Amino acid sequence: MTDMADQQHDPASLEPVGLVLGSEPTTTQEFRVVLGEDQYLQLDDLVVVKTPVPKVGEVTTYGIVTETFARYEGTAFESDTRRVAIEGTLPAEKSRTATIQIVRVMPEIWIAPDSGGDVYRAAGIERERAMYVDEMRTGARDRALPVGLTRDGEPVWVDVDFFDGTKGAHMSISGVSGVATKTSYALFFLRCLTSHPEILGPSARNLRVLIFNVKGEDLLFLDKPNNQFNDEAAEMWSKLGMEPGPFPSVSFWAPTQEEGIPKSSARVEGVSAFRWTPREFVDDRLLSFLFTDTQDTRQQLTFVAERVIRQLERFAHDVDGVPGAIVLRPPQDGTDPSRPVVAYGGERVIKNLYDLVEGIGEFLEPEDGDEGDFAWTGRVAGGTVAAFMRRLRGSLGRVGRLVAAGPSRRIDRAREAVTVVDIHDLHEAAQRFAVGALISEVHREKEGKGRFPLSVIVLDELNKYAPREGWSPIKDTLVDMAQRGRSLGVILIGAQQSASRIEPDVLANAALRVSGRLDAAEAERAEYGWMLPSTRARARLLKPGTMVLSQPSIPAPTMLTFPYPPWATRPEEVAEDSDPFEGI
Amino acid sequence: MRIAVQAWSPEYGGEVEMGRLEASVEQVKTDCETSTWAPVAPRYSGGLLDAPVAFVDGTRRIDARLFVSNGRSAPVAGLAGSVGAGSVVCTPPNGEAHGRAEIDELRIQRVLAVGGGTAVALNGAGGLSYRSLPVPGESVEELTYAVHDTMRNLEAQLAQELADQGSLVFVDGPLAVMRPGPQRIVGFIKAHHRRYLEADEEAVLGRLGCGERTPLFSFGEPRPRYSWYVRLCELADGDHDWHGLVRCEAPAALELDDVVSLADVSAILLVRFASLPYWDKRAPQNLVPVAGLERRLRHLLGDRDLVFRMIRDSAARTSEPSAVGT
Repeated sequence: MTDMADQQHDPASLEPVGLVLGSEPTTTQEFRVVLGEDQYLQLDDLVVVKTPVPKVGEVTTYGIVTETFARYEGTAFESDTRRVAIEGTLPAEKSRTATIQIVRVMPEIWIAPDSGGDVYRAAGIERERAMYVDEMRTGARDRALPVGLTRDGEPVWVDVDFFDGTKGAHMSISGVSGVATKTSYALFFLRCLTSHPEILGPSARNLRVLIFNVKGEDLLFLDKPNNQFNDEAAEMWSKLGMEPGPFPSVSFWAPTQEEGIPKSSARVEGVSAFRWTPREFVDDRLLSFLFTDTQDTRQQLTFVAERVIRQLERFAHDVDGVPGAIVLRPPQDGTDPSRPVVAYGGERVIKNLYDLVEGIGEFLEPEDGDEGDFAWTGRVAGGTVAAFMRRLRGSLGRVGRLVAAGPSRRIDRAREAVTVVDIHDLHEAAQRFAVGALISEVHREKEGKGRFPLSVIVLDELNKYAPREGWSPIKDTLVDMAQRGRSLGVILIGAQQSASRIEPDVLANAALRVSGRLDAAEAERAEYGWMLPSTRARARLLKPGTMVLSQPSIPAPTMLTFPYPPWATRPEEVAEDSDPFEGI
Repeated sequence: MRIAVQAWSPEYGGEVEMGRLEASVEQVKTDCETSTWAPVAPRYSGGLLDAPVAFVDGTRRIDARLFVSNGRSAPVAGLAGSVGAGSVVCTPPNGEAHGRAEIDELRIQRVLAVGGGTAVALNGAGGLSYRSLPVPGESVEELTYAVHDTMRNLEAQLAQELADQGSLVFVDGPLAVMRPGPQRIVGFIKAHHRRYLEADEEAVLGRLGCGERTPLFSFGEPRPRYSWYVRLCELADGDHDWHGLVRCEAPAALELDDVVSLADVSAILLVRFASLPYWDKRAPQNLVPVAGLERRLRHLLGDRDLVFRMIRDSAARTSEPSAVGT
C-alpha cells in the first residue's frame, strides 16, 4: 500500500474496488472479485492484488476483467427476484462480482492470490506493468508504441519489436466488412508508426508504405484534412502523444486511362497514372501474374508461363525510337541484346499487351498449323498450349491498359513515404496482376539488401491473394514474405474478413493480430484461439472503431478504440483551403 | 371417509398436531371483542398498512453434546448450542417506489448449557466462544429447553427494542417469554398444539376465508394476552379445515381498540407475506421474509462440521486430560 502511494496514483486507485472472492478457489489463471458497494469494474479494466507469500514476500498479481456478474444472494427461485425487488417481502443481498484473468505476476512466483485480498484498480505505473510496458522500455530503449485507447481513455501500447522485425513482424487484421474498420485501423496504426520516430528508431528512417486501394475511394484523401474532425477526436490523438493531421507525404497512383491521364473518378489532381511498358513487363517477369488463378497450376498453365517468361527474356530487344517497346528476335541471331535495334520492315514491334500476346502466339501456335516451338511450350500437350493462349487473349480486355510502350510510368515508391495505388476500378484479374507485380517488385528490391529501410505493404482482401487452398505466384511471394519478411525488412499488414480463409503460413507469421467485429461462426474458429472465450463472445458485438489486439508480449488480448481520422476518407469530408474566388 | 393431507413437509411435523392437541388448561375469555362468533373480515384501513413492518425470528442448533466432569463426581451432560435472532424490516411498495425487505439486525450467541448448575465456558479456536449457561436439571430435555430459551430471549429482546422505536413487530412464536407493555408486538404461531376454544367457537376456524380472522379471545396468567386466528390462503380440495391458519397474540396491556386494529392489520399483512407451497415446505405459515431471515441466520451459525471440529479441538486444548469429552 505504502509503495503504491509513493507512485503517484489518482486517489480512486488507493481505495480497493473489492476483495478476492473466497467462496470458490482462486487459481493462477483466474479469480473473482466481490465488488465494494460503491465500486464497479467493467470489462477490460486492469486490476492489481498483492499477496503475502511465505518465504517469498509479497507477490503482485495483475489481471484483466473478462466478465462481471450481479445477483441476489440467497434467492432460490426466479420469482424471488420480484419478491426482493418489487414486493419487498424477501430480504436478499445484492452481490456483484467480476472475473479476472491473470496477465502477470511479479516476481514470477506462480501462486493463486489469497482469498479476501484487497483488489485495486491498476493505475499509473501499476497499469503499465499490467500491460508489460516496463518490459518494452529497457533503459533508454523505448519500444512501447501507443496504438489505441482503452475504454477508460488510457493508452494501449504495442511492442514495436514485434512489428519491425526485431523479434517479429507483420500484422493481421480480421473482421466483417463495413463495421470492422480494418483499413481505418491499418491507417491509424501507420500514422502511429510515422508519428513516433523516437520509438521506431532506425525503422523510421526512409520507411516506405505501399497501400492498395481495393474498395471505394476512401484511401484517396489521406493527405487532406477532414472537415468532420472535432475537438473530442483531437483530444484522443493528443492522449496518444500525436499531433492530429493528414499524412504529410503521400503519392497517389491510378491505372492509365489515356496517355498520361489516370483513371480515377474520385480524385482528379495529384494522381499519377501508372502502367508498365512491354520491356518492363518482360524484365519484371510480369507474365506470371496473368496466371494467378489457383486453378492454373493444376492445368500446367504456370509451367508453360515459366517457359514463355524465360524465352521472352532471351528474345526481347529494345526498339530504337520507340521507348519501352520490344521486338522478339532469337538470341542466336547475334544481335547485341543490350542495344536498341531497328525493326525490320514488317517485323512485329510490340507496343502493348495485344502485340505481345500475338508475338507469343507466333511461337506457340504457328500459322502453318505446326506444333509450337518446344523451347517455348516445354512439350506440353497441344490442348494445354491452346488453353494457355486462350487465357492470354482473355486477359487482354482486363489487363491490357496496364501495359503500353512510351515513357516509363512505373510506380515510384520512393517519391513519398506513403504510396497509394488505386486499383478499385480494375477487374479482379487486373487487380491481382497489379498487386502481384508490385509486391514482387518490393520483395525483389529488398532481397539481399538488409532490413532497413523498412517497407510496409498494406493489403486488404488478403484472402484473394493468399487463400488457404491452391497455389499462385502471388501467394508464393506472400508466403515467402511472411516467412522471411522479418529479416528482409518487408512488413505485411494484411486484412481480411475471415482469417480462416487465409494461408496458415501467412497468418502464423503475423506477430500482431487485430480483430474488429467477427461473424458469429467465424469467431468460433481455431484461427482466433488467441482470444479469450469472453473476447470471442464480444467480437460479434464490437462497434466500428473498437478492435481487439493480441501481441506476443501480453498474454491476454487487449480491447482498444482508436480516434476519428484527421484525414478525409470521402470527397465530402475534404476540408478545402480558402476559396481563391471568394468575394469575386 | 375423507382423507386430508397436511400441507407441510413431514419432517417439520404437522401444522396441526391432532394427536397432541391438548385440552387447554388456561382460562379463556371469548367475549372480549364480541360474543357472536363468526369469521371477521378486516375493516382497518389506517396508516399501519403502508408503514414499514418488522419481522423477528430466531434459530438454534445443537452443535455438540458433551460430558463435563470435575474429576471428583460423575460427569454431567452438556450441550454446545448456537442461537441466532434477527429482524427484517419490510417497506411496502408505494406508488412508483418499489418495496424493500432489509435485514436490520442479526445477533448470534453461543452457549454451553451444562447440567447440575455447572458453569463452564469454552473459548474456542477461530473466535468461536461458548459462554457458560448453567442449567439446574440434568436431563438432555432441560438442557435443550435452556438453549431454546436463550433464543426466545434474544428474539424477545430484539422485538421489544424494535417496538420501542415505534415499529409494528411480528415475532415468531408466542409472547409467553416477554413481558410486553402496551407495545405493538404481535406473536404469530405457525403450528397448533393446544386447544383454546370450545367446540362451537372452534367450528368458526373451519369457516374462515382467506384473509379473515376469528374474533379476539384472551387468556394467560400471569402474562395475559389477546389472541385470534387468521387464515392465510384459500382452501383447495383435499385440504383439511385447519390448513393455512396462524394464531396471533398481542399484549393485553394494549387498549382493546388497538388490539382490534392490530388483529385486522395482521389479517391483511400476513396474507401479503404468506409463502407458496412450492416455495417453502411450511407454506403458507412460514412467511417469506421470515424464511429469508432464517436462511441467513442459519448460515451465520457456521458450517456444522467445521464448528463441531473446532469445539473438539478447543475442548481438547482447554481441558485436563479426560476431563471433558464429546
